[in-house]
Amino acid sequence: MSGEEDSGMYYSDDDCGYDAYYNYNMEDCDIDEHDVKDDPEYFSYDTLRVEEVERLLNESVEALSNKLCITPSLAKVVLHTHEWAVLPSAVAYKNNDWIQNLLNPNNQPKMEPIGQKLRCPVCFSPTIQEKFSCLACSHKFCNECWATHFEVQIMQGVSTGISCMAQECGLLAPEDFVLSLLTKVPLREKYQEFAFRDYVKSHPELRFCPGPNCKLVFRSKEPKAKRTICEQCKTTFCFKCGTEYHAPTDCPTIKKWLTKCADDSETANYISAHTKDCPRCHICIEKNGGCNHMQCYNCKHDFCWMCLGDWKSHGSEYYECSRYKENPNIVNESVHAQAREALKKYLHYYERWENHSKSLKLEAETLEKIKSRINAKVMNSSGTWIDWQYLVDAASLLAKCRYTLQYTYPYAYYLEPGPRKELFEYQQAQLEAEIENLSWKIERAETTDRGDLENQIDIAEKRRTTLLKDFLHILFCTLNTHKVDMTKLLGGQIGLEDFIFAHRKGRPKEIEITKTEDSLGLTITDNGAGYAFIKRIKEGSIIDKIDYIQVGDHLEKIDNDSVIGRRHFEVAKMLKEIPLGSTFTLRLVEPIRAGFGNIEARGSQKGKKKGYGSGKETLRFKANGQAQIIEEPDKEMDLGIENINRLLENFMGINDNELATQIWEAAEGKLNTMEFAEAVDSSDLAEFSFTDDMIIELWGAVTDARAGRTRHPS
Amino acid sequence: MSGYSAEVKVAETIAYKMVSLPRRIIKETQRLLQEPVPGISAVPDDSNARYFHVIVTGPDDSPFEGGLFRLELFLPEDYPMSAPKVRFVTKIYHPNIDRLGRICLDILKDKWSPALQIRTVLLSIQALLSAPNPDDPLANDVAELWKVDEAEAIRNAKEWTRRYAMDN
Ligand SMILES: [Zn+2]
Ligand SMILES: [Zn+2]
Ligand SMILES: [Zn+2]
Ligand SMILES: [Zn+2]
Ligand SMILES: [Zn+2]
Ligand SMILES: [Zn+2]
Repeated sequence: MSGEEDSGMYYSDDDCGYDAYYNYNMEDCDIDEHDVKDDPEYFSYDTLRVEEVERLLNESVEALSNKLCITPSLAKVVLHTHEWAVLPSAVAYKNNDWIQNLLNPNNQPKMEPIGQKLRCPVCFSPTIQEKFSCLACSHKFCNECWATHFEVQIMQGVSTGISCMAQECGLLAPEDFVLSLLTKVPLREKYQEFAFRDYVKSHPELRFCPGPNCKLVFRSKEPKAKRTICEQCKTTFCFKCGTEYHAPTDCPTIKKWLTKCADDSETANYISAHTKDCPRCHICIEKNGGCNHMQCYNCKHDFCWMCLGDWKSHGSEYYECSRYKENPNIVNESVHAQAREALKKYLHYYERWENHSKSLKLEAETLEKIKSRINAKVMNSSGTWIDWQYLVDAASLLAKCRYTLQYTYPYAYYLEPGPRKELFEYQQAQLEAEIENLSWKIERAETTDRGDLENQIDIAEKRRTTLLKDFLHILFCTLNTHKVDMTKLLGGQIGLEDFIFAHRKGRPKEIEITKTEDSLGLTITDNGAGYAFIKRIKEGSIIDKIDYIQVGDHLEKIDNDSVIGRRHFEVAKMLKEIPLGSTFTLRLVEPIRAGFGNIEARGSQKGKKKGYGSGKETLRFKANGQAQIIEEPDKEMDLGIENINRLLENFMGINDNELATQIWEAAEGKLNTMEFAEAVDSSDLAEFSFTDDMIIELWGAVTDARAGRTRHPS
Repeated sequence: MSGYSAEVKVAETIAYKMVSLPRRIIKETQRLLQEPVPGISAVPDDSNARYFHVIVTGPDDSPFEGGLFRLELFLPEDYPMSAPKVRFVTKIYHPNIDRLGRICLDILKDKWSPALQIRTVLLSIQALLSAPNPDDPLANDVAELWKVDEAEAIRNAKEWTRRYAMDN
């Protein structure tokens, strides 16, 4: 495989909510609306009652039956078999394709005449002609047989799927035909109930609430694998597949994972132990809280419940705990060794999946305890309930984060090794570290500073949304450059010192092109995850002459055909096949380029609406566990780095963008020189042993940049 | 077997069970007994007219040639709206028939039509013996061998036929 094909990134394309990006160009974009849509879990849907669903279905039925001059019943059959799309249904009906395949004129059952009567081919009883009925296929059977046939089918739960009785005739019986022959009232009711169920299930925009005994139906005009919450029974589920909400894992993967877990439940059972021995003093420790940062009650050793490693190693290098290190030589090992390795890998992921699920339950208990403690405090006039609300907020955010974290494991399990997996597990580790921090702080809420806890909430939630959002919208990544430089595409393993820039979808554009030459001059590649993009544009080619098309642009549509999900060679072939001289429209999406959003002090985030995720930023990672996922430099950052660089030059005689960037990053979220100094000292920057004066100067450069001032060294 | 005795037999059964059989089953039974399908015999049980003892002769030029295969066929309450239940009683080495004698045949499942009859079902089963279909298997190990080493599979089928379908 060439490098073009194998950028090693792939993921389901289900959840590409582009709307957020499309909107940002609109001038009158409502800020609040905008922000809601930036939420990676934002999903718009309506709740419908049975009557409303019926009205909705009837609208389509009426439209089709008027259009084709057919009975509403027949229109229903056609719509039901064509996902309730009126136009395709009309086309299919007119072409007669759907009906002809089902007819088998050679299979007319024998209709033996007996005097005035005919012998029914099913019950063999002589019956007068008037008591025979047939569908459009003219396979005649006596009315009694039809009725019995319907009864048997309905008892088996079949309704819309009831077909003609003739051999190899699959013509579906429309509602009015069934109801005209079916006399038993309870069965008629059942039939209608089942048919309604089938209609909703065949309608891509509709989804029954999976909650027990809940009759509500949800409708989304853009069905996606997004979180849906039933307002009536509070069930939370994935709109697309109806199972538990499972972001960032996609629907087919979670299904595969859950089936695997069910199949392998025996093997995994031993994991369910609630006790482990302290790795230092070997005393037996029971886990009774959700936090995986354990402290031995006996020797006070801090360790990780999951890997039993020292907790100290779980700060920046949490990565080593959450990710599974595959044996690179496993293909050369024996079948037995491979099976053992496969089991080991599965158990690694399963253990973490299961453990977070348990932590969720334990943390729910913690929340209850917190609530009763708050109650007691309020009763003792130690603050008001509002004062303590932040603790409840923290606990519920913790649950949300841990839930997402739990569902990262099935995804990671099925990800093929490669840069995309590295990136994912890196983000996963970051989230995991912050969650355990938050859990630790909540369990010790009374002694934790409120500001500290609130800060931790912000960080954890930011990590969570970043993981959810980012992963779904990355077009491609470049290594060590924020520029759209196709020679720097992320391809192999991430080195410890590498910076990864994830380029996400930006501005969409549509361009009309006339194919005046055979070659368009495009080299196309894809990210292995359904996004094809332009890798090279040949100089002097048709495309080269169009300024709006640039390297890095993602190809979304050729005329009206979406090419999302297609491999690069398929897209190239489609372009090649466009006849010479014809005009076509390309829909492209630009990657987001430099000069975007804002870096914000963590503490100052509250209340301010920011354009995060609005398509204005490129995400940036550093693989050594130090850097954050941050937005691309904007004016503020540029200014900050410029200021810092000037200081560095003055004080140390060096001008180093990388170092300046790192300093700028260390200042992120810091509110004062003390915090800033601490951040610098606990990072690689400590090596430079900056003096206190230098720290104060640097801090000044940072705050000036935040305020938009250029700083000249004194 | 004469048509007369068959009529009597069916009538007796009905009297014995005190249930009325649908005309369809009576007619089909009569015809099965009067004009049996070559190579197939199907006789209703003395005590239950919905239960048939079936013997299928292994088709010529098949690995089952020379064998007599016993099957049981039961007409459920819903028959003919539901398919008859059929099973091989004699052990047979065949990719579409499992160890329990269950048969993988579309007309016994989703392709069932009330217009089909016992006769058509048995004919289809006979055809299945003539032309095994390892691509739609029920017995996976047999189907696998049938695909990778047909000669060996046919040898097995002949051996099983000799051992289980010829003694009696
Ligand atoms: Zn028909
Ligand atoms: Zn009839
Ligand atoms: Zn509900
Ligand atoms: Zn889903
Ligand atoms: Zn200990
Ligand atoms: Zn660990």
